[in-house]
Amino acid sequence: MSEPIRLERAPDGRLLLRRETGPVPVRPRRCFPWASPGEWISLRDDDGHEQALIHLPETLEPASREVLQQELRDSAHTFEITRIHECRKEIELRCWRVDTAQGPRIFQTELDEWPQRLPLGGILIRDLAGDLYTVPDPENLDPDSRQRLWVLLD
Amino acid sequence: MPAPLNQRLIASYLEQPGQIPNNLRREAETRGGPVILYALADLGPDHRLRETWILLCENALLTVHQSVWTQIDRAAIDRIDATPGLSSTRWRILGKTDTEAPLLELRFSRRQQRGMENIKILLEADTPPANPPDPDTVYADSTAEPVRNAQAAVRGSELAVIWRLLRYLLPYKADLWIGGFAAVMLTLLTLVPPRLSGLIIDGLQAGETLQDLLPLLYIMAGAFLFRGFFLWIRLRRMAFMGERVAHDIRSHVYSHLQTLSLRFFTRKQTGSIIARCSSDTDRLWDFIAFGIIEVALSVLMLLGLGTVLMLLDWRMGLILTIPVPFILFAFYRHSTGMQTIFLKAWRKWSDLTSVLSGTIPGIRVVKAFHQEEREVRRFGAENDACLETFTRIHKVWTNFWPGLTLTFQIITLSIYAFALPRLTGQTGPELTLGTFVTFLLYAGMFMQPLETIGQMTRMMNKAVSSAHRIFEILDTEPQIQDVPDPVVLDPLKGHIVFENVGFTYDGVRPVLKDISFEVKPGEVIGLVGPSGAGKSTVINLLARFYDPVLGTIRIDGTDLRGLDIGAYRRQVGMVLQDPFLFHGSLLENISYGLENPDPAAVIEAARAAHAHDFICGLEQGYETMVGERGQTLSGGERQRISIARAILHNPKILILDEATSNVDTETERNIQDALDRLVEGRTVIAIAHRLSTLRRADRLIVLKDGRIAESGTHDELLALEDGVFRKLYELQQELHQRFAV
Repeated sequence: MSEPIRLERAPDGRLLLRRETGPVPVRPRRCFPWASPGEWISLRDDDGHEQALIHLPETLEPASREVLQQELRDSAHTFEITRIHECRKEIELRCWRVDTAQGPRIFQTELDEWPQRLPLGGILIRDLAGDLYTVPDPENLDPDSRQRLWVLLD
Repeated sequence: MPAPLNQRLIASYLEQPGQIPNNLRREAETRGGPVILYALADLGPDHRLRETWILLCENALLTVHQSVWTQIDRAAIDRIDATPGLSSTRWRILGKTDTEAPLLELRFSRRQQRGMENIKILLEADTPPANPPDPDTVYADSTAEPVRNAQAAVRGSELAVIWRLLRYLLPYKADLWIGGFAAVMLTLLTLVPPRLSGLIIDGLQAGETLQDLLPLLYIMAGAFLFRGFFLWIRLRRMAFMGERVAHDIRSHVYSHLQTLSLRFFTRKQTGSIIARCSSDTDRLWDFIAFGIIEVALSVLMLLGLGTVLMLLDWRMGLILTIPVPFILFAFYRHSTGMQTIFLKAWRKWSDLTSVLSGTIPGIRVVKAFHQEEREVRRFGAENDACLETFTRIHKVWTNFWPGLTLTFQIITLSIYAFALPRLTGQTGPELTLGTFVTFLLYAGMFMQPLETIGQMTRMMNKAVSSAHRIFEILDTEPQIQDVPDPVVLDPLKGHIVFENVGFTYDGVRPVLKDISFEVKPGEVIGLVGPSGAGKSTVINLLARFYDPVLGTIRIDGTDLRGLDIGAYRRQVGMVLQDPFLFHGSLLENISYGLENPDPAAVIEAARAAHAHDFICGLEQGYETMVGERGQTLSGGERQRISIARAILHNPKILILDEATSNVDTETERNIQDALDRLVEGRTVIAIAHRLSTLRRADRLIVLKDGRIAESGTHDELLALEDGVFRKLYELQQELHQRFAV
């Protein structure tokens, strides 16, 4: 029978996987960040090797689950768009001016980098630097923002 | 890339400071010594956007957020624990012991990642750089890089771009004047026949004889004749001139492309670069030859029509001229509205083509998994979506144009309504039938110039986009350039020294870390290591496709950056894994770069490369065409051609990058034999996938994770227990045995 997965927080803040051989610092990585964000969590060590794969975090004992969820929340950050003020075309770029839950921001996407529909609903936009912007429910946007987004959706 | 450009890009595209405020920098220098690098951490602990500067100083790592400073001695820092998330990274700066809390926690978005990684690389480097780069330049360069890579051209006004484009016309001033004069005459002559028609009708009504009216007919014939002549001059001159300008731009772009560094070509897609030299210049030809003139003439035509009509009869003239601004506005609205729907259509079209580009090359997989029906359904869904959007487009334009035609018909009716009472003498000042007919003919001439002016925005946008893409290439400066008064080493001895060399392609991930080794003239060195270890990067630096970020490479004792690039590269030969053959004969391919190759030397080189026999087996021998649309050669044959090319050029330093990895065992033996002849008397750096082929190397350097893990002879390295080379070797042997079974 495989060793039960036990996680804890090290004094220096890192997530530790308790092993019989000793603690291993790990980082959680969601296998399906959009379709099943709460399932299938791979724990990777500093060399990028998988130390454990957690199907359902609910099956962990409460203390382990809590530290895992903290780490997952921290790594799941994306900018959440609440309003689209402007989306204009420039030479080879599309320039956006938006309000996000994290504050106002401008960013650019390539002209053929289209907003993507997410499996559980919502829209995902990726900017030139690789930052991710989500619109959890486009229907909740104001009409002007919806119109600006509609043009670019499939 | 000069810093001011990057700072402007940051200010206009990212709305963040182009450099750290001076007062913060001064304060940091007081606290921690000279600032080596700085970056911006733009997220707070709750992931809300905020501004925290992080400064790496000589003695300390500092952060400042809203005038609150934190300071950590560099000696207290052990390492940085970086945890990348979906769209942000968390840094924990850790102290010397695992039992203490992190010294500092920072969060930042991907936008800041390059700048932050620069700090990490330097903080964790074993040896500090001898000549640290300017921190303002590094910050601006790394932050602006994604925008610069996507666009590169400085954002300029459309007028500035058009003006720059027009400067290409300067060598063709005579053509421009003659073509422009012909175009003006053409427009003015177009206004003549309707007026003459009116005068003839008035003459007939006044009872004039044919004899009286003949001069008018002669003038009309002359007008048509000259109109044809000026049309011919205008079309020919402007078309020729546009083509010459496009030719000049193409030549300028292509010759500039050849000076650019490899980094430019890896950053830009090949298709995009080709499009700039072909379709973009073609679009500019169209704009220069016809676009500019058409718009100018349309304005002239409208002004001419307006003036003539008002002079003829201002009351009637107003009927035709008052609607002009409204019609122009309608054209403008229609044009911008169509652009929005076209964008939607482009989106749908992109989905449709992505299905095609996914399934056609992968058709074997589709068939193997029996997914034809699924793919047909997927294509059908995208095709339906396209139909829906294009139907919408057709609805819009099919509504607009009949509406516009109706507007013109209403204007014509208005002319009748205002003219008939005057023609019949019921009310108003007298109006002759000839003037009335003239008005009707002029009314029909309004539509075309209005349409041209209305579509001017779209045409300008297209031309400016193309001009921008072309100017982007012309404005890109080669990153690898000769220094003033470069050292010419000819002939090279082939003594190579890498001193603490560090390198990164993207400014984020270090590919080489602290690489130091020496190769004596005539030595054969094998570079070994797992994929991603940095082997190809070492040879990219040696060929000076890139310059090291840290450390120095010396050739015969001179810094490679100080050498004359041309003289150096002429003495460096490369045989690559997938040799490229240009479209041309085998003779041209072997002697590529040589002015008048000696046939005897070419045959000798081909013999040494074991290529002569298969070449003579081809019907056209050395004059067999290869490359695109040419004779197809096998991987081994192409490889032997590239070895013959290297032998003929007689390089002092020879680089072999996986030269035998893509061929079968028999061919490998032939190539290996050819290589053995090639390496004699040269300094050789060889990368080989099959480790057994490096048995004859004087020394092997084993790379792992961008560092030198081991070095020594083949046998010495095999003798190392737990050695990286030994493990790789054993793994290959095991695979070979399994495969053999």
